[in-house]
Amino acid sequence: MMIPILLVFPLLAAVPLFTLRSRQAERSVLIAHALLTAGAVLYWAVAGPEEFIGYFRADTGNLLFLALIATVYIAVIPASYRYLEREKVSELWHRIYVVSMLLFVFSMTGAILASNLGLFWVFIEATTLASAPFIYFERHESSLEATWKYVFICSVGIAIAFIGILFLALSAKGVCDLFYTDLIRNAPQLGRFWLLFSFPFIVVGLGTKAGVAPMHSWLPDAHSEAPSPVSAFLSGMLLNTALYGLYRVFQVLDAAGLRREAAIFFLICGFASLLISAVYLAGATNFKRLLAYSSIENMGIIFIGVALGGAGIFAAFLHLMAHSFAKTTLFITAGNIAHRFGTKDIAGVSGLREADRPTGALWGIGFAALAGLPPFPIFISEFLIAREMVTQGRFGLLAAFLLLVTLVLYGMARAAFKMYLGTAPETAKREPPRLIEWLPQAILLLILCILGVAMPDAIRHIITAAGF
Amino acid sequence: MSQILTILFGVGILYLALTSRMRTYIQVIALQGFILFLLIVRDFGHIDWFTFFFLAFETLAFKTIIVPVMLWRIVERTHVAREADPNIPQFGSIVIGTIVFLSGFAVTDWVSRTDPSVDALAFGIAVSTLIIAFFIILSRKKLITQVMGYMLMQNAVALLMIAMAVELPLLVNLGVLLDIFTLMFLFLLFLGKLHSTYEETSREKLTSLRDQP
Repeated sequence: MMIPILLVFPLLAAVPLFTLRSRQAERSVLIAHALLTAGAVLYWAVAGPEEFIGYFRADTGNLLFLALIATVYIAVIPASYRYLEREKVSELWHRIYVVSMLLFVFSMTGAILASNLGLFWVFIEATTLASAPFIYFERHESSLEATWKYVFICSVGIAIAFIGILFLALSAKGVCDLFYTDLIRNAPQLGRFWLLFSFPFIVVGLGTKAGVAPMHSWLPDAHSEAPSPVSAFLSGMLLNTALYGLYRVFQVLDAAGLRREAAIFFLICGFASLLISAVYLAGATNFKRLLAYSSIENMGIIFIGVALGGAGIFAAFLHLMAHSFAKTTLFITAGNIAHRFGTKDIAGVSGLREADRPTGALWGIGFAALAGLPPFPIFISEFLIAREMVTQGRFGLLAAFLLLVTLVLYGMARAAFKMYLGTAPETAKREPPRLIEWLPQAILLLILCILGVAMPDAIRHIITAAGF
Repeated sequence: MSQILTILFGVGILYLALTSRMRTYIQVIALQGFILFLLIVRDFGHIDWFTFFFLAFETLAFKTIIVPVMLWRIVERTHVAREADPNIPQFGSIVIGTIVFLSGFAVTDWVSRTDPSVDALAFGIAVSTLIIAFFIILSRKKLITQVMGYMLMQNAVALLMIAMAVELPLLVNLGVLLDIFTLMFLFLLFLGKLHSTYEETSREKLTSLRDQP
């Protein structure tokens, strides 16, 4: 019974919020929804798979993604409160924020729970619609520009994915419907030509939403213009949701004996993402855009891991989880930095360690987690990917991978150190940070550290199961 | 009869490659919606009742009436009567549009030999419509023209579904319709905002967020 509750709750809760007009009620609903999501994940982890009307399913295959939604959601709520308080938003926009958050999480949860590819498409399009008000939230000219690009580019991309899904349906005509389990079970009977023909459309379409190059152009704009807690959500969860559907289709091609062909598309997108982020990170002048390009890079690494197969699959999903945690930490922290220094420009921020010690520490440690320094899990995932390349004898790929990752690291480090060291400008606010401004990120980093040093078997099992 | 309708669908999109008037774009989108409705009616008896009524409603009410009305409201709000200065000149658009349209017949010939279960003519026209819709999105500067290109894409996708006789579950069809309706509403809303902010709703105005490598 958890699936219907989880799907119906945000829809039912969103309606009365417009009539109650109480900020307290709005905040309580958000907390209740986040706890409900976390409770549902725990329930499925203990009680096992659950199915609802044949179209929704929670099992070990999507538990990792659901757990990430719940964790990122819980971490983002305190930052959202603080953001709304600091920005002194009107009652109407406060309500819009809360309702959009409910609908955004609803659409992502629906996409992950959907067991039919067509239904997944419906929810993934809904994520664009639900998150558009967030990107426009600050109502500057630049936020309007970012919102238009986000809505239009993602909608065209998702329409392309729909064409791919139609070709996939044609390949399955007379064999089965668009349910993942049916498609994988009957993969050898699917029409190979239409199945293969469908894949580039689905990669381009869902790849647009996943933010991989060369379809990434909306991502830096949307991430930099959205409120920081929302940027955390976009980077920490939305990209994963698109990847989830794409990976399910990848599995169908794998089961149909077309793994090599499918892997080529993933490798192209993966390396293009590394290249684009390496080039643009070096010249980034805005630290939120810097984090956005880093998201493109990390999605690229995940694509490469999936394409390699073997240990690369485990590495890809470990990387996905670690990236979600680290990026949530850094985006929320970036919001605090922007508030303290009054700018998102890298040039306008220095002396973080003296101006705000907790924020400075989170920025430094978060950067270390994202850069793949030990003991954080990104070190393990990148090492496993590199090792898989060696095992497969793909030394050219290995050289390109190491070179591009190093260039990205240089671009990130240059900005991170510049912001952390030096003397803080006089204009920087000096008041001490509140507990809710740094505690959620500190907990996320602690979890990452524990996972890197001694990963519990249960977590290892959830990550492994996501790949099967 | 259905072949004539399908060809008429394609001729409409070819005409759009030649024109720059917003009124014509909207008329062609409405005409295509009505042709899709007639093609659905042709399939009466071959698909279940619920799906038939849903698709008939979608094509007649949504694609033929609601979407064109919403597009017309956007045009009125943004005061854009025509695409005055496209990226590719008119003559180039005519040549490209014609080549793509004729290529559609080559696709028709290829599909009829590859997969006999597919309505080859409708498939070929749908593919050429998709390509021309993309061309319109990429080559036109006005944001409203790009939205028209998006709706043409949606019409092409509907024709593709008819050509391949692919049936999606009603729940999925309903969700798709709801999504596209909401999207149209968002386009209407944000184009209005863009118009009041920039006065001219052109792609060239949206350049403040570019990065330098």
